[in-house]
Amino acid sequence: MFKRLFDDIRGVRTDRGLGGRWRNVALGGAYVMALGMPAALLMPALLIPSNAQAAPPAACQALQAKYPALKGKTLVNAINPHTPGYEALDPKDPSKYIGFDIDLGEAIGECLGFTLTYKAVTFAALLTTLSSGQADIVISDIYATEERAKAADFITYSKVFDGVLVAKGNPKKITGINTSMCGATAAENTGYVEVPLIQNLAADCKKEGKAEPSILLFDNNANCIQAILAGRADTYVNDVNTVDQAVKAYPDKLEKATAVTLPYSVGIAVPKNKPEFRDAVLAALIELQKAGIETELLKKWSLDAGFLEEPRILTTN
Amino acid sequence: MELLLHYLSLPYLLQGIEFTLAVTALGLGGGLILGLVLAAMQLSRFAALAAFARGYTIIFRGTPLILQMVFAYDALPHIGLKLSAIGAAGLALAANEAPFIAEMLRAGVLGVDRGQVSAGQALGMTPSLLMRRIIAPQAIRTMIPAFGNETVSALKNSSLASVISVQELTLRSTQLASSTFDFFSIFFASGLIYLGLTSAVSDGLPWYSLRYGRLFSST
Repeated sequence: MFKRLFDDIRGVRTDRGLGGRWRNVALGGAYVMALGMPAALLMPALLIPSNAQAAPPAACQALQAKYPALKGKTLVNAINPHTPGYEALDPKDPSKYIGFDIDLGEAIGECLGFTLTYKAVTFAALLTTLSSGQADIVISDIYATEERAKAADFITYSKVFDGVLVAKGNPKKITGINTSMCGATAAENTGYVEVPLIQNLAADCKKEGKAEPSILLFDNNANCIQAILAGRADTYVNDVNTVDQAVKAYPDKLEKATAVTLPYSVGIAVPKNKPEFRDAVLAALIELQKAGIETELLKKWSLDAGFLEEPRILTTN
Repeated sequence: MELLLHYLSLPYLLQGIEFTLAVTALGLGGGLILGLVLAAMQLSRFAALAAFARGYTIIFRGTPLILQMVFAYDALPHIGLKLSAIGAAGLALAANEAPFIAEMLRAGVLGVDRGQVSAGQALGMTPSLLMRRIIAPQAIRTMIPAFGNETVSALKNSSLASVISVQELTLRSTQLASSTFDFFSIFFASGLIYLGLTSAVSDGLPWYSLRYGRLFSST
């Protein structure tokens, strides 16, 4: 498209006489609009294929027969690809996304007969992208909560363990989401479940005569980690595996203070108005777990396999 | 330094330029068309049209572009208008650029010496002939520097499309930084690429200005 576009403009500039120059520039503009606009409007989401690892279990054939509408489809998976281990660009080949969530999604797709393309959005926009119909599914290490279940249905598959990331030596002696955070600055992503938990510490801090914790809000994990490295924040509380990956990347500068259990599960979000799709994903996930594929993937990405739980649906009206 | 050169020549980042240019072209092209309509409304004798143009300007000049982009991408589908990411970004940028371009066009037209218009009328020129032969050639020449500024600002504003998943230079840079942790080299490289693009636009336009200025003055 660009080559033709520029060729056209070059032709306008060099070939024509003065009288027709502006008319032709205008025609060139109209050409840009006529060809460019619809082409761009119709341009599909960027296709970035990735490879699922294990072969689908035999039971998947039965599921494909039960849910034939999904077979052969290409669905859009909205992700916040800033979490190495779960979803991030492949540093060796940045045209691909890699990670546990990517493999899990591809495995579910393989089981049910659909393929996935990816749409990279901010964490806070994951569910809005889903509910506006710009994406069909969200597999992006998102915690399923009652609040979020108002916007989407969730299929949960893993318990939530959070890690508390701090600067090396833990200078503020933070021991979890408790009054040790009073007066400290936490970096979090907009929309994270940890945000209200930290905000709720204000009353306890006041009781102890300490300053309340402050929160810096960012759009992705990488920015939160950088906030600690730059000394802007004292801590970042998030999924323990993400915290471990950050410590692995900066072993001299960061450490994990502790791990805490939160009363949530990690889930896959699907639109509320597609119960059949939700049930199909649930069934596929159960089969993958039964066949040990999920455990295999967790091992492949060095994520702790002890957190698995039986898939179930979280939905509210 | 080696890393910087690596990222400056990385096809993944360079492909992001295409999306950056596509959003910019849609924004400027659409903005020019919408701006022409708005300017015509503002210059019109009908009060209702002028009032509509004023209302449009208040809304789109008075709200942030990032909000307009998110609105075009995430809110419009709720009323049945689902655009692709690049379409939504182009639409929002065009809608946002239009009032600024309209103002440029209006000022350019009004800036042409009144006496020349009167002289043309005295010679029996029709309004469309007047516009083509007298007003437009002079107005366009004075508008070129302002249009250059608008192009540079549209190009930089296209980076906001990163929040609605357009795979342009900024989104690609942030994703790459997240997976490689090479924040410094990557953002430095993408800064240099943006600088190259904006320089090409702002250095290119004075040349156009001179060229067309000379050509028009010779007619």
